[in-house]
Amino acid sequence: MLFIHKESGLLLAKVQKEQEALQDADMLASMMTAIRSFVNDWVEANNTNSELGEIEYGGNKIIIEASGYSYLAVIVEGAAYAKTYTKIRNTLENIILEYGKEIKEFTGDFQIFPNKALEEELNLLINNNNKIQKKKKIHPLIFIFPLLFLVWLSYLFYQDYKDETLAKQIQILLQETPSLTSFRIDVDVDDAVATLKGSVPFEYYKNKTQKLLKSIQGVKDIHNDIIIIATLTDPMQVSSNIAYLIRGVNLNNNTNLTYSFDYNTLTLKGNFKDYKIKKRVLQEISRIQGVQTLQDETKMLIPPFKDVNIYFDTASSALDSSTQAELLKASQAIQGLDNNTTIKLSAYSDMIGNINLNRKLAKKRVQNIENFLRKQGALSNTVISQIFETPPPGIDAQKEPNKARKITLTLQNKSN
Amino acid sequence: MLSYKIVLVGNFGAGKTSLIRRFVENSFSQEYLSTIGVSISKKTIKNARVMIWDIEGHTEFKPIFKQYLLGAKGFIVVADLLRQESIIDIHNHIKLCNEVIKGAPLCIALNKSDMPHTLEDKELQIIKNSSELIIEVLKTSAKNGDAVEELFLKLDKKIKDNMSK
Ligand SMILES: Nc1nc2c(ncn2[C@@H]2O[C@H](COP(=O)(O)OP(=O)(O)OP(=O)(O)O)[C@@H](O)[C@H]2O)c(=O)[nH]1
Ligand SMILES: [Mg+2]
Repeated sequence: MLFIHKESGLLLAKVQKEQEALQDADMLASMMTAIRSFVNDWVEANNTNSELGEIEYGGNKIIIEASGYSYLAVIVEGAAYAKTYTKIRNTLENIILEYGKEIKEFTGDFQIFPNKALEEELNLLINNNNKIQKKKKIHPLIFIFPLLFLVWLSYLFYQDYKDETLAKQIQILLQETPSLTSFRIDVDVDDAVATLKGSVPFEYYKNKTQKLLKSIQGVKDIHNDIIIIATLTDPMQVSSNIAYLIRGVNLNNNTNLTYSFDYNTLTLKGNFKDYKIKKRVLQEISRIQGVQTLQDETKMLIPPFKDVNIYFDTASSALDSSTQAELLKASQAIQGLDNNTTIKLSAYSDMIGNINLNRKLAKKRVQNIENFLRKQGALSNTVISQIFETPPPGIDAQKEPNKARKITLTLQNKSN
Repeated sequence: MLSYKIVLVGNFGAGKTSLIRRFVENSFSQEYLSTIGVSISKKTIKNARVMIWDIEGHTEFKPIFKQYLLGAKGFIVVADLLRQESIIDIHNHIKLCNEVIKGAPLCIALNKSDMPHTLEDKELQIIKNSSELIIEVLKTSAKNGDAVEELFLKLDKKIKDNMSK
């Protein structure tokens, strides 16, 4: 059984039956990855919505079960039962739930990668000999010796007492484990053998309960009768959906978003340069089923907006081509901001001629700019204007009349 | 223990397979058996298990299959000193590699240096300066082994430096 990194084909962990040792697992893992990507690409090109799941050779079979950043290849001799597939799937599910983060962040360094722990998990799949329930022993001698009978009775009481204490201990432990508190799991202890009953949504929780019980001293054996009722979305599907979405976003928008997902809460980190993109990404994420909470830890890195200065000819309200180009650029920048941004136009005057006429002219200029922004720049922001009868501060209208006939475009944010 | 993947890319017949064979098994064959799909070799370099992917060379009719480049930690771009067009194509290969794995280091092998060729040494520097990703440009020969070891070890060193960052 090989556990393989999906993209690089590097072997993350391997487990095998002693008598059937694999010759060169590294090579096999790489080759299989090459075949897998080739076949999947072909399948994708032909618009069939499936993945390579099995390779047959000779009398053997390689079952491939993929998820997120990794896949599991199980080499089976002869035919495989339906149960085998379920077991493989479940094992992979457990591994992803427990080590998903480490797999995602795999660098190639096995000093920090928990491959040993993974292999233990995989070993469970190979050595999965179903335990046969032991029958209670009845001592035949008790019917002959009443004394012994009494001893036995007291032993039973003691045993009962011990069982009860154990059951309580287990109940408390289950209640104190955050991920398990929300499920109803009943425990029955008999002769130090614990029987678990109840239902959980994933195999993961079932196994977690089992593991937890193993840590309690005095439990001789565990019968895990917890059933799995899949009410929620498959967590692996959810996490690979997220992975694909984020990767697509990063590629298309040149962003560097990262995320972590704990099968419930998605935490998003990184920088956005554009408010619209952020909105779209958040919208897309909300469409992914299975993400219950989104913790947005992203930052907006908006390039500073440079005020636009627009100059006019005497008595003219026309926008020349370089002004138009500048306004278009500004409108693009504004579209990347949130909708709370208001555009402010401040019009100044060269103070030549009639005040009223100048006022009218200024209004016309403002109107022209607004029209242009709405039409060419497709802006929907609020535009406010202020008309001064004076030149801009610091400008002497008599000396520099062409610098005085000016409108400045600045931004205001309602939320500030 | 470390484990990483590298890929050799380049035009067909440039000597990718031959370079790998020289490095891994220290042998050479005059015969030309074009690689179909991909062939994978393994070599341990100090504490690293390196999976070397040898892929089908780029031809006019068949571009390189991008999926094979996924997950690589570095690339070796191979060109044939005797074929100008394979040298010109180097920058296309670099582009492709960088598209799939942003910022991955590359070594350039100008192969078949045992044969008479016209490329002058100062042109190596020009190639090297053409991209920041290039860590080394070497004239190699899979036939007599010149600079082959150096080629793989330089890349190995860079990859390990990157990994320990
Ligand atoms: N003289 C000489 N010949 C070489 C050298 N390297 C490769 N060759 C020859 O060039 C031919 C092609 O080499 P390959 O290694 O198969 O080339 P490739 O890049 O793997 O080709 P594809 O698999 O088709 O992409 C063979 O005939 C080799 O013997 C070299 O360094 N010197
Ligand atoms: Mg080849």
